Amino acid sequence: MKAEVTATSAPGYQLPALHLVGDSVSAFDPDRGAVRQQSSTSNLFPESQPLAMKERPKTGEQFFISFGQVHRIRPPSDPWETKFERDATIAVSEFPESNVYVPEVTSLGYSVAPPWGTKADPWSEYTAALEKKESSAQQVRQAYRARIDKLRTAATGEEIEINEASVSDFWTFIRTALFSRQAGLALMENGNIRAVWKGVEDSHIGLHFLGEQQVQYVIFRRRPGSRRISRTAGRDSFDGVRRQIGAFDLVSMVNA
Amino acid sequence: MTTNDLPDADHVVRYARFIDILDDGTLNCSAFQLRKTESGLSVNWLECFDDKTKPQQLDEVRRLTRLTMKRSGGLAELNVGITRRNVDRLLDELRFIHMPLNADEKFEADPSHSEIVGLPPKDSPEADMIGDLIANCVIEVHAAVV
Repeated sequence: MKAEVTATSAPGYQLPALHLVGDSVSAFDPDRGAVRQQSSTSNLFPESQPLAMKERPKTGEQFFISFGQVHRIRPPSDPWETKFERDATIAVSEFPESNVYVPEVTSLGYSVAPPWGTKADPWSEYTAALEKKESSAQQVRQAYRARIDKLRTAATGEEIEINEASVSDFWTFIRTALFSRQAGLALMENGNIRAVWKGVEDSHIGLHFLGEQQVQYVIFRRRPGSRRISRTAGRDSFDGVRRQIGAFDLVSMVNA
Repeated sequence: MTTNDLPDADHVVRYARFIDILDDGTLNCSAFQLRKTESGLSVNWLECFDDKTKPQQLDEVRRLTRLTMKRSGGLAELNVGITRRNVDRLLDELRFIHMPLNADEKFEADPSHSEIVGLPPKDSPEADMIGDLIANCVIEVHAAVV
Protein backbone atom coordinates (compact mmCIF):
# COMPACT_ATOMS: atom_id res chain seq x y z
CA MET A 1 0.00 0.00 0.00
CA LYS A 2 1.06 3.48 -0.60
CA ALA A 3 -0.76 6.50 0.63
CA GLU A 4 0.02 9.64 -1.23
CA VAL A 5 -0.58 13.09 0.06
CA THR A 6 -1.79 14.94 -2.96
CA ALA A 7 -0.95 18.57 -2.88
CA THR A 8 -1.29 21.61 -4.98
CA SER A 9 -1.04 25.27 -4.40
CA ALA A 10 -3.61 26.18 -6.99
CA PRO A 11 -6.06 28.80 -5.70
CA GLY A 12 -9.49 27.46 -5.01
CA TYR A 13 -8.22 23.95 -4.85
CA GLN A 14 -10.75 21.48 -3.54
CA LEU A 15 -9.70 18.86 -1.09
CA PRO A 16 -8.90 15.71 -2.99
CA ALA A 17 -11.11 12.70 -2.98
CA LEU A 18 -10.15 9.54 -1.21
CA HIS A 19 -10.09 6.96 -3.93
CA LEU A 20 -10.28 3.42 -2.72
CA VAL A 21 -10.17 0.62 -5.20
CA GLY A 22 -12.50 -2.27 -4.60
CA ASP A 23 -15.62 -2.58 -2.55
CA SER A 24 -15.11 0.52 -0.50
CA VAL A 25 -15.54 3.78 -2.32
CA SER A 26 -15.68 6.96 -0.40
CA ALA A 27 -14.77 10.57 -0.74
CA PHE A 28 -13.77 13.30 1.58
CA ASP A 29 -16.48 15.89 1.71
CA PRO A 30 -14.79 19.24 2.16
CA ASP A 31 -18.00 21.00 3.06
CA ARG A 32 -18.67 18.76 6.00
CA GLY A 33 -15.19 17.80 7.02
CA ALA A 34 -16.05 14.16 6.95
CA VAL A 35 -15.93 11.34 4.54
CA ARG A 36 -18.98 10.95 2.38
CA GLN A 37 -19.92 7.42 1.56
CA GLN A 38 -20.69 6.79 -2.06
CA SER A 39 -21.27 3.13 -2.40
CA SER A 40 -20.43 0.14 -0.35
CA THR A 41 -22.50 -2.31 1.54
CA SER A 42 -19.80 -3.80 3.69
CA ASN A 43 -18.84 -0.56 5.38
CA LEU A 44 -22.20 1.11 5.70
CA PHE A 45 -22.72 -0.04 9.23
CA PRO A 46 -19.44 0.11 11.10
CA GLU A 47 -19.29 -2.29 13.97
CA SER A 48 -18.63 0.46 16.43
CA GLN A 49 -19.71 4.03 16.74
CA PRO A 50 -16.87 6.53 16.76
CA LEU A 51 -19.04 8.95 18.66
CA ALA A 52 -16.62 9.77 21.41
CA MET A 53 -13.95 11.79 19.72
CA LYS A 54 -12.20 12.59 22.94
CA GLU A 55 -8.68 12.51 21.78
CA ARG A 56 -7.52 14.91 19.19
CA PRO A 57 -4.46 13.81 17.26
CA LYS A 58 -1.31 15.14 18.85
CA THR A 59 0.76 17.85 17.36
CA GLY A 60 2.62 16.60 14.36
CA GLU A 61 0.47 13.54 13.94
CA GLN A 62 -1.27 12.84 10.72
CA PHE A 63 -4.66 11.32 10.32
CA PHE A 64 -7.35 10.75 7.81
CA ILE A 65 -11.06 10.23 8.14
CA SER A 66 -12.78 7.32 6.52
CA PHE A 67 -16.23 5.87 7.02
CA GLY A 68 -16.76 8.14 9.96
CA GLN A 69 -13.69 6.96 11.80
CA VAL A 70 -10.42 8.68 12.37
CA HIS A 71 -7.32 6.78 11.45
CA ARG A 72 -3.93 7.71 12.71
CA ILE A 73 -1.19 7.37 10.18
CA ARG A 74 1.78 5.52 11.52
CA PRO A 75 5.26 5.43 10.04
CA PRO A 76 5.25 3.91 6.57
CA SER A 77 6.30 0.47 7.68
CA ASP A 78 3.40 0.18 10.10
CA PRO A 79 -0.15 -0.64 9.27
CA TRP A 80 -2.78 2.01 9.68
CA GLU A 81 -4.69 1.55 12.85
CA THR A 82 -8.09 2.78 13.83
CA LYS A 83 -7.80 5.11 16.73
CA PHE A 84 -11.10 4.99 18.52
CA GLU A 85 -13.37 2.41 20.06
CA ARG A 86 -11.82 -0.65 18.53
CA ASP A 87 -8.38 -1.98 17.82
CA ALA A 88 -9.08 -3.29 14.41
CA THR A 89 -6.10 -2.86 12.24
CA ILE A 90 -6.67 -1.81 8.71
CA ALA A 91 -4.17 -3.48 6.53
CA VAL A 92 -2.52 -1.00 4.31
CA SER A 93 -3.06 -3.39 1.45
CA GLU A 94 -6.74 -2.59 1.61
CA PHE A 95 -6.01 0.77 0.09
CA PRO A 96 -4.02 0.16 -3.06
CA GLU A 97 -3.33 3.07 -5.29
CA SER A 98 -4.98 5.47 -2.90
CA ASN A 99 -4.80 9.18 -2.85
CA VAL A 100 -5.47 10.16 0.69
CA TYR A 101 -6.02 13.60 2.09
CA VAL A 102 -3.77 13.80 5.12
CA PRO A 103 -4.10 16.94 7.18
CA GLU A 104 -1.49 17.53 9.82
CA VAL A 105 -2.42 18.88 13.23
CA THR A 106 -0.29 21.66 14.61
CA SER A 107 -0.03 23.17 18.05
CA LEU A 108 -2.37 25.90 16.83
CA GLY A 109 -4.98 23.32 16.12
CA TYR A 110 -4.92 23.83 12.40
CA SER A 111 -3.89 21.61 9.65
CA VAL A 112 -0.79 22.68 7.88
CA ALA A 113 -1.34 20.13 5.21
CA PRO A 114 -2.36 20.80 2.60
CA PRO A 115 -0.54 24.06 2.18
CA TRP A 116 -3.40 25.42 0.11
CA GLY A 117 -5.53 25.09 3.22
CA THR A 118 -7.95 27.93 3.10
CA LYS A 119 -10.54 25.65 4.59
CA ALA A 120 -11.12 25.60 8.31
CA ASP A 121 -9.34 22.97 10.32
CA PRO A 122 -10.80 19.70 9.02
CA TRP A 123 -10.50 18.09 12.42
CA SER A 124 -12.65 20.77 13.99
CA GLU A 125 -15.14 20.57 11.17
CA TYR A 126 -15.25 16.85 11.51
CA THR A 127 -15.72 16.80 15.26
CA ALA A 128 -18.33 19.57 15.05
CA ALA A 129 -20.26 17.56 12.48
CA LEU A 130 -19.98 14.50 14.68
CA GLU A 131 -21.20 16.36 17.74
CA LYS A 132 -24.21 17.60 15.82
CA LYS A 133 -25.02 14.10 14.66
CA GLU A 134 -24.43 12.68 18.10
CA SER A 135 -26.83 15.20 19.59
CA SER A 136 -29.43 14.22 17.03
CA ALA A 137 -28.81 10.54 17.69
CA GLN A 138 -29.25 11.10 21.42
CA GLN A 139 -32.62 12.73 20.80
CA VAL A 140 -33.67 9.74 18.71
CA ARG A 141 -32.54 7.32 21.41
CA GLN A 142 -34.44 9.32 24.03
CA ALA A 143 -37.57 9.14 21.86
CA TYR A 144 -37.11 5.37 21.55
CA ARG A 145 -36.80 5.01 25.32
CA ALA A 146 -39.99 6.99 25.88
CA ARG A 147 -41.84 4.99 23.24
CA ILE A 148 -40.69 1.64 24.63
CA ASP A 149 -41.82 2.71 28.10
CA LYS A 150 -45.29 3.46 26.71
CA LEU A 151 -45.36 0.13 24.89
CA ARG A 152 -44.43 -1.64 28.12
CA THR A 153 -47.31 -0.03 29.93
CA ALA A 154 -49.71 -0.86 27.12
CA ALA A 155 -48.44 -4.42 26.92
CA THR A 156 -49.37 -4.99 30.54
CA GLY A 157 -52.90 -3.82 29.79
CA GLU A 158 -53.11 -6.22 26.84
CA GLU A 159 -51.69 -9.11 28.88
CA ILE A 160 -48.71 -9.32 26.59
CA GLU A 161 -45.30 -10.09 28.04
CA ILE A 162 -42.68 -7.99 26.36
CA ASN A 163 -39.73 -9.99 25.03
CA GLU A 164 -36.66 -8.42 26.64
CA ALA A 165 -34.36 -10.25 24.21
CA SER A 166 -36.16 -8.45 21.39
CA VAL A 167 -35.79 -5.08 23.11
CA SER A 168 -32.11 -5.77 23.69
CA ASP A 169 -31.62 -6.73 20.04
CA PHE A 170 -33.35 -3.55 18.94
CA TRP A 171 -30.91 -1.44 20.96
CA THR A 172 -27.95 -3.43 19.72
CA PHE A 173 -29.02 -2.96 16.13
CA ILE A 174 -29.64 0.74 16.55
CA ARG A 175 -26.28 1.26 18.19
CA THR A 176 -24.39 -0.56 15.49
CA ALA A 177 -25.71 1.75 12.82
CA LEU A 178 -23.55 4.84 12.68
CA PHE A 179 -26.39 7.31 13.12
CA SER A 180 -29.94 6.25 12.82
CA ARG A 181 -33.02 7.96 11.51
CA GLN A 182 -35.96 7.53 13.83
CA ALA A 183 -38.21 4.57 13.21
CA GLY A 184 -41.76 4.09 14.38
CA LEU A 185 -41.98 1.39 17.05
CA ALA A 186 -44.77 -1.05 17.73
CA LEU A 187 -45.19 -4.21 19.75
CA MET A 188 -46.08 -7.52 18.19
CA GLU A 189 -48.59 -9.96 19.65
CA ASN A 190 -45.68 -12.18 20.77
CA GLY A 191 -44.09 -9.34 22.72
CA ASN A 192 -41.40 -8.52 20.17
CA ILE A 193 -40.41 -5.01 19.15
CA ARG A 194 -40.86 -4.00 15.51
CA ALA A 195 -39.30 -0.91 13.99
CA VAL A 196 -40.71 0.63 10.83
CA TRP A 197 -39.10 3.25 8.62
CA LYS A 198 -41.16 4.86 5.87
CA GLY A 199 -39.69 6.81 2.99
CA VAL A 200 -40.76 8.41 -0.24
CA GLU A 201 -42.79 6.60 -2.89
CA ASP A 202 -43.99 3.84 -0.60
CA SER A 203 -40.50 2.79 0.44
CA HIS A 204 -40.79 0.86 3.65
CA ILE A 205 -38.56 -1.13 5.97
CA GLY A 206 -40.03 -3.17 8.81
CA LEU A 207 -37.68 -4.97 11.21
CA HIS A 208 -39.19 -7.37 13.70
CA PHE A 209 -36.61 -8.25 16.35
CA LEU A 210 -36.97 -11.91 17.25
CA GLY A 211 -34.13 -12.19 19.78
CA GLU A 212 -30.80 -14.00 19.38
CA GLN A 213 -29.84 -11.33 16.84
CA GLN A 214 -32.37 -12.60 14.32
CA VAL A 215 -34.60 -10.20 12.46
CA GLN A 216 -37.76 -10.78 10.47
CA TYR A 217 -37.73 -8.13 7.78
CA VAL A 218 -40.09 -6.64 5.24
CA ILE A 219 -38.77 -4.25 2.59
CA PHE A 220 -40.77 -2.37 -0.05
CA ARG A 221 -39.15 -0.18 -2.66
CA ARG A 222 -40.52 1.38 -5.82
CA ARG A 223 -37.72 1.31 -8.36
CA PRO A 224 -37.09 4.58 -10.19
CA GLY A 225 -39.18 4.77 -13.33
CA SER A 226 -41.30 1.80 -12.37
CA ARG A 227 -44.88 1.56 -11.16
CA ARG A 228 -44.27 -1.79 -9.53
CA ILE A 229 -43.04 -2.03 -5.99
CA SER A 230 -40.28 -4.52 -5.28
CA ARG A 231 -40.91 -6.44 -2.09
CA THR A 232 -39.00 -8.89 0.00
CA ALA A 233 -39.51 -10.54 3.37
CA GLY A 234 -37.56 -13.09 5.36
CA ARG A 235 -35.49 -13.82 8.42
CA ASP A 236 -31.82 -13.10 8.73
CA SER A 237 -29.00 -12.02 11.01
CA PHE A 238 -28.22 -8.34 11.58
CA ASP A 239 -25.58 -8.46 8.87
CA GLY A 240 -27.91 -10.21 6.46
CA VAL A 241 -30.61 -7.62 6.99
CA ARG A 242 -28.11 -4.83 6.43
CA ARG A 243 -27.11 -6.45 3.18
CA GLN A 244 -30.78 -6.60 2.14
CA ILE A 245 -31.26 -2.93 2.96
CA GLY A 246 -28.13 -2.12 0.99
CA ALA A 247 -29.29 -4.21 -1.95
CA PHE A 248 -32.52 -2.21 -2.05
CA ASP A 249 -30.47 0.99 -1.86
CA LEU A 250 -32.38 2.11 1.22
CA VAL A 251 -29.53 2.68 3.63
CA SER A 252 -30.25 6.40 3.69
CA MET A 253 -33.71 5.61 5.04
CA VAL A 254 -32.32 4.13 8.24
CA ASN A 255 -29.05 6.00 8.59
CA ALA A 256 -28.81 9.76 8.79
CA MET B 1 -66.72 -15.54 -4.61
CA THR B 2 -69.57 -16.84 -2.54
CA THR B 3 -72.62 -14.96 -1.38
CA ASN B 4 -70.88 -14.45 1.97
CA ASP B 5 -68.10 -12.38 0.44
CA LEU B 6 -68.36 -8.66 1.08
CA PRO B 7 -68.72 -6.44 -2.01
CA ASP B 8 -65.53 -4.78 -3.22
CA ALA B 9 -67.07 -1.34 -2.95
CA ASP B 10 -67.83 -1.73 0.75
CA HIS B 11 -65.81 -0.95 3.85
CA VAL B 12 -64.80 -2.64 7.07
CA VAL B 13 -63.16 -1.46 10.29
CA ARG B 14 -60.79 -3.36 12.53
CA TYR B 15 -59.91 -2.45 16.08
CA ALA B 16 -56.22 -1.60 16.45
CA ARG B 17 -54.65 -1.46 19.90
CA PHE B 18 -52.19 1.19 21.02
CA ILE B 19 -49.34 -1.28 20.56
CA ASP B 20 -50.35 -1.71 16.88
CA ILE B 21 -50.22 2.00 16.13
CA LEU B 22 -46.90 3.51 15.10
CA ASP B 23 -45.69 6.84 16.38
CA ASP B 24 -46.97 8.63 13.27
CA GLY B 25 -50.49 7.25 13.66
CA THR B 26 -50.18 4.68 10.87
CA LEU B 27 -50.53 1.01 11.62
CA ASN B 28 -48.04 -1.74 12.14
CA CYS B 29 -48.52 -5.12 10.48
CA SER B 30 -49.55 -6.52 13.86
CA ALA B 31 -52.93 -4.81 13.49
CA PHE B 32 -53.69 -7.23 10.68
CA GLN B 33 -52.37 -10.44 12.10
CA LEU B 34 -54.33 -13.08 13.92
CA ARG B 35 -54.53 -12.66 17.67
CA LYS B 36 -54.56 -15.36 20.29
CA THR B 37 -58.21 -16.33 20.01
CA GLU B 38 -58.89 -15.51 16.37
CA SER B 39 -59.37 -17.96 13.52
CA GLY B 40 -59.88 -15.16 11.03
CA LEU B 41 -59.24 -11.44 11.30
CA SER B 42 -62.31 -9.96 12.94
CA VAL B 43 -63.66 -6.84 11.25
CA ASN B 44 -66.97 -5.02 11.12
CA TRP B 45 -68.78 -4.38 7.84
CA LEU B 46 -69.94 -0.77 7.85
CA GLU B 47 -72.46 -1.03 4.98
CA CYS B 48 -74.27 -3.67 7.01
CA PHE B 49 -75.90 -0.66 8.66
CA ASP B 50 -76.98 0.67 5.30
CA ASP B 51 -79.60 3.05 6.58
CA LYS B 52 -77.09 4.98 8.65
CA THR B 53 -74.45 7.64 8.07
CA LYS B 54 -70.76 6.78 8.50
CA PRO B 55 -70.57 8.19 12.06
CA GLN B 56 -73.69 6.23 12.94
CA GLN B 57 -72.25 3.08 11.42
CA LEU B 58 -69.13 3.52 13.55
CA ASP B 59 -71.26 4.09 16.62
CA GLU B 60 -73.05 0.83 15.93
CA VAL B 61 -69.72 -0.98 15.68
CA ARG B 62 -68.62 0.49 19.02
CA ARG B 63 -71.93 -0.39 20.64
CA LEU B 64 -72.03 -3.99 19.44
CA THR B 65 -68.37 -4.93 19.79
CA ARG B 66 -67.43 -7.76 22.09
CA LEU B 67 -63.93 -6.36 22.49
CA THR B 68 -62.87 -4.03 25.24
CA MET B 69 -61.94 -1.05 23.14
CA LYS B 70 -59.62 1.50 24.68
CA ARG B 71 -59.35 5.20 24.07
CA SER B 72 -55.71 4.71 23.01
CA GLY B 73 -56.80 2.31 20.26
CA GLY B 74 -58.44 3.04 16.93
CA LEU B 75 -60.81 1.68 14.31
CA ALA B 76 -58.90 1.24 11.07
CA GLU B 77 -61.09 1.55 7.98
CA LEU B 78 -60.38 -0.46 4.84
CA ASN B 79 -62.01 -0.64 1.45
CA VAL B 80 -62.59 -4.29 0.60
CA GLY B 81 -61.71 -4.13 -3.10
CA ILE B 82 -58.63 -1.96 -2.75
CA THR B 83 -57.26 -4.16 0.00
CA ARG B 84 -57.88 -7.34 -1.96
CA ARG B 85 -56.24 -5.91 -5.07
CA ASN B 86 -53.25 -4.67 -3.09
CA VAL B 87 -52.40 -8.12 -1.85
CA ASP B 88 -53.75 -10.30 -4.65
CA ARG B 89 -50.38 -10.83 -6.32
CA LEU B 90 -49.11 -12.35 -3.12
CA LEU B 91 -52.21 -13.88 -1.66
CA ASP B 92 -54.91 -15.31 -3.91
CA GLU B 93 -56.93 -16.60 -1.01
CA LEU B 94 -57.61 -13.37 0.84
CA ARG B 95 -61.36 -12.98 1.34
CA PHE B 96 -63.66 -10.74 3.36
CA ILE B 97 -66.47 -12.97 4.60
CA HIS B 98 -69.63 -11.89 6.34
CA MET B 99 -69.95 -13.88 9.58
CA PRO B 100 -72.66 -12.28 11.75
CA LEU B 101 -72.61 -13.11 15.44
CA ASN B 102 -75.74 -14.32 17.14
CA ALA B 103 -76.89 -12.94 20.43
CA ASP B 104 -75.87 -14.84 23.53
CA GLU B 105 -76.25 -14.41 27.28
CA LYS B 106 -73.79 -11.55 27.41
CA PHE B 107 -73.99 -9.88 24.03
CA GLU B 108 -76.48 -8.52 21.57
CA ALA B 109 -76.30 -9.94 18.04
CA ASP B 110 -73.69 -8.25 15.83
CA PRO B 111 -74.85 -8.38 12.21
CA SER B 112 -71.77 -6.50 10.98
CA HIS B 113 -69.18 -8.99 12.18
CA SER B 114 -67.05 -10.32 9.35
CA GLU B 115 -63.66 -11.93 8.98
CA ILE B 116 -60.67 -11.57 6.69
CA VAL B 117 -59.54 -15.11 5.93
CA GLY B 118 -56.71 -16.63 3.93
CA LEU B 119 -53.93 -14.92 5.82
CA PRO B 120 -50.51 -16.53 6.18
CA PRO B 121 -49.57 -18.22 9.46
CA LYS B 122 -48.81 -15.72 12.18
CA ASP B 123 -45.22 -15.11 13.26
CA SER B 124 -44.03 -15.69 9.69
CA PRO B 125 -42.24 -13.16 7.45
CA GLU B 126 -45.19 -13.45 5.06
CA ALA B 127 -47.58 -12.47 7.83
CA ASP B 128 -45.52 -9.35 8.47
CA MET B 129 -45.48 -8.48 4.78
CA ILE B 130 -49.21 -9.04 4.25
CA GLY B 131 -49.94 -7.12 7.44
CA ASP B 132 -47.90 -4.19 6.15
CA LEU B 133 -49.62 -4.33 2.76
CA ILE B 134 -53.05 -4.25 4.41
CA ALA B 135 -51.92 -1.49 6.77
CA ASN B 136 -50.95 0.56 3.73
CA CYS B 137 -54.56 0.33 2.55
CA VAL B 138 -56.02 1.93 5.66
CA ILE B 139 -58.17 4.89 4.65
CA GLU B 140 -58.61 6.38 8.08
CA VAL B 141 -58.20 5.48 11.73
CA HIS B 142 -61.32 6.44 13.67
CA ALA B 143 -61.56 6.84 17.42
CA ALA B 144 -62.30 3.55 19.11
CA VAL B 145 -63.97 5.24 22.06
CA VAL B 146 -65.91 8.50 21.83
